[in-house]
Amino acid sequence: MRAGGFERPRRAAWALSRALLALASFSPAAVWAEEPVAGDRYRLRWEREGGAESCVSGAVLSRLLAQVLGARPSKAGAPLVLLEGRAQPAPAPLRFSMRVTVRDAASNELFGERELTTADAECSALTPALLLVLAMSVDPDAGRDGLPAAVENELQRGNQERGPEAAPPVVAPPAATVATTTPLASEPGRPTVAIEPPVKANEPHIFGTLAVASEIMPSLTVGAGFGARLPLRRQWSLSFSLFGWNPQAVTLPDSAFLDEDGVQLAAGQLAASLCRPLVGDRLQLGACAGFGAGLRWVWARALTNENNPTRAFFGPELGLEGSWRFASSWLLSAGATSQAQLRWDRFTYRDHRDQPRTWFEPGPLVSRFWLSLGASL
Amino acid sequence: MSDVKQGLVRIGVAALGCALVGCSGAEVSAGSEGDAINLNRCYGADCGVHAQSLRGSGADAIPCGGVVGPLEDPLIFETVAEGAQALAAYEAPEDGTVWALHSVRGPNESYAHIVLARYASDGALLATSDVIATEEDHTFLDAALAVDSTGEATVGLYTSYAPNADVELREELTLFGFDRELQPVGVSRTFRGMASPRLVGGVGGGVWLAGNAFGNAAHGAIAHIVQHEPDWIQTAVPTAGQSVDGLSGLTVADDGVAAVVARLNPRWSGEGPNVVKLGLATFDVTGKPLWTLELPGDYTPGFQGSLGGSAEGDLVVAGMVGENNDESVVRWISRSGELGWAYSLKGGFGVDVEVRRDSGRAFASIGSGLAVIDAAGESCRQFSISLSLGTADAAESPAWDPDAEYVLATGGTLARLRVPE
Repeated sequence: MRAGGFERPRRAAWALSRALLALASFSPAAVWAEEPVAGDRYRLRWEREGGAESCVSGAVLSRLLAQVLGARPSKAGAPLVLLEGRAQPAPAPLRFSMRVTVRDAASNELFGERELTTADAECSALTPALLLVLAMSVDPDAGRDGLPAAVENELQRGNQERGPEAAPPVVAPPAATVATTTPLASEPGRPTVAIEPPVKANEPHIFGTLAVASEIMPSLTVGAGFGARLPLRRQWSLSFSLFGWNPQAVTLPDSAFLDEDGVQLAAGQLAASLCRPLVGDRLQLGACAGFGAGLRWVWARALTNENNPTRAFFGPELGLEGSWRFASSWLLSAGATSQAQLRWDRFTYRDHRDQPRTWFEPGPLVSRFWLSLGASL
Repeated sequence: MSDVKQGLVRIGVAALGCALVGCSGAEVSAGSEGDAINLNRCYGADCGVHAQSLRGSGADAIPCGGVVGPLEDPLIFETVAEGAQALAAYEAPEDGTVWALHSVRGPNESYAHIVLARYASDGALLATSDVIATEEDHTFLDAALAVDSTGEATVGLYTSYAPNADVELREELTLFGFDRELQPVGVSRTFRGMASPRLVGGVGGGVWLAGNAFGNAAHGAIAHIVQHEPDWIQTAVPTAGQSVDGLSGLTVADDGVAAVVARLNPRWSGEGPNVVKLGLATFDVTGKPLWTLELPGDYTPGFQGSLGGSAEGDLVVAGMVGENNDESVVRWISRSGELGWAYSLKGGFGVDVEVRRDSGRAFASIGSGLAVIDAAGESCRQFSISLSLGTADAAESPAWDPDAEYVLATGGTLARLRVPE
């Protein structure tokens, strides 16, 4: 879970939410729950759409919210707040989303809205965050110390009661839960919830790359590229990248028969990889595996008789990458990729005695180290 | 996930198959070197080193004395064939034997053949080589000759061939080696980037080759060739550049320090005098540039500078001056670039200077005369050359004196004359 202000011990809530979910799942697919609670403090409307039956029900939510808010007296002059929410399935790679709006019950003025999403298989993973959002919308002090122990226990118990076949492994890290909000902080007396920008762990994005490569050319070479990454199921993504490498002048052994000092070598490369994050969330470590192919162009300007060959290089590649989403739509990544060569070329020329001379023999592994800046689409 | 797995399996199978059935690479040849040595590229020397630029205003040239008489004891060398023309000659300082490159055209032959001949000091023909090359139509030919201290001769032949103006000019400079018996030695070497070569044989064997490309040359080149292989090539040789005669003289001291004279600028504004400057450039035995010097005064357009040098490396430069094409200046420069004596000579249409390696005596050939200047520059005497040359008669010829004799190679005549003391 990643709504910063909601980062709390979650296992109890996790278990309880699953238990409650078992009960709530008997309710119809879409249920309105309007529970005027605490008289003049708030009203709650809660809806679950079809496919979101595992999300907390309106009745359970109402009861838990009342527990969170407890018997705290309402502040003088505080308006009656109308809390409206809807739980629904979310498009892949997410699973569920909840949208909450907070309004003045009298004037219907919109104070703010928030969206919570999760890629967890169980919607109940969102329940603790939802409770905090709702509670703090009514009383900013309500969630200052997190959820009450009784509520957390109930949520955790609910998860445990769902049974081993339904409960996700506790050791597995929860999938990303994200929240978006329309800030309310400008309004005095309104609850403010510290919510970080959304972290969209797997979404289509494009990127531009600067890289350094070895074995493409005789010495390290720099290059630039661009590409796109398309999300697949279960956090997998498909990455395409295209690199152009800075041409390099390769000095040939000094000879009085040469026209110039050396030959020019240029290269370009295309790669397609399947990638998956391994650990982390906003700061993430992942791995990629795929296949790359490229071309090397030779301009033998030093030689009187130029062949100027163009040769392909290709092979499977593996890479490790780290990425940091520093803004909602921006991603900074760095990594290393190595490609095993399936073709072993040896670049030569013939000297004036017609003897072959090798000027470049690429190694079996072509590696690149890269830094890229990506933008979500 | 199953699709992904299947895709990966397919890629793996394809890669494995590719590796097994022939994707593995092989030797990829980028091309090949040519068989001609490239004189446009610095090689084996201190490339990129700039020479020290010297400046100096030498003494004004003083007039050489008048003609004191004719050269004596003319000795005409035996001819290699009727109508042979002497293209170049070299006199060995140790024994006075003469090597001469001839263009020979038979009575029924449309093309001339290039042959090398060797003469005794008394003018007797000792040996003649096989035909080295043949002059052909539409072909310009220039030749140079050098003999190193081991007695091996090197002939340089430059040809540029273009049957008409619509085809690309084909240029080639080839060096041929010959032993004392005028038998070919080693492989012939071809060069690119140089026309009108200058050749000088070295003390320890090997030859120095200098010149610049035909027509538009941004720089000249000097190379040391040892056993027909380039030892070094230096391209930091200043020449005028565009469409002018560039490098025109080469000399090498016993310690391997080489000097060249070249026209430095083609400056002409379109009106007024066409000013020509001559300059010297020197290089050590490894090809490293030492110093350059722009000679004082203006030289006459249309004429090349001439250069001679002593064994110690002191230099004598001669060039035409003035606008009447009848005056030249001969100037001495020390091996360190200091200007010394200078004489002006009256006489026409070109000047050529030689320096006796041991004594430093300078012979400046002007038209039908010869000026003889001693090494210290204390005397300058001019002699006339009689057109009615005698015939070789070894019995009557005095002993060969390297300091007193002058080999004249002009047109079909190869002769030796003696400077009266």
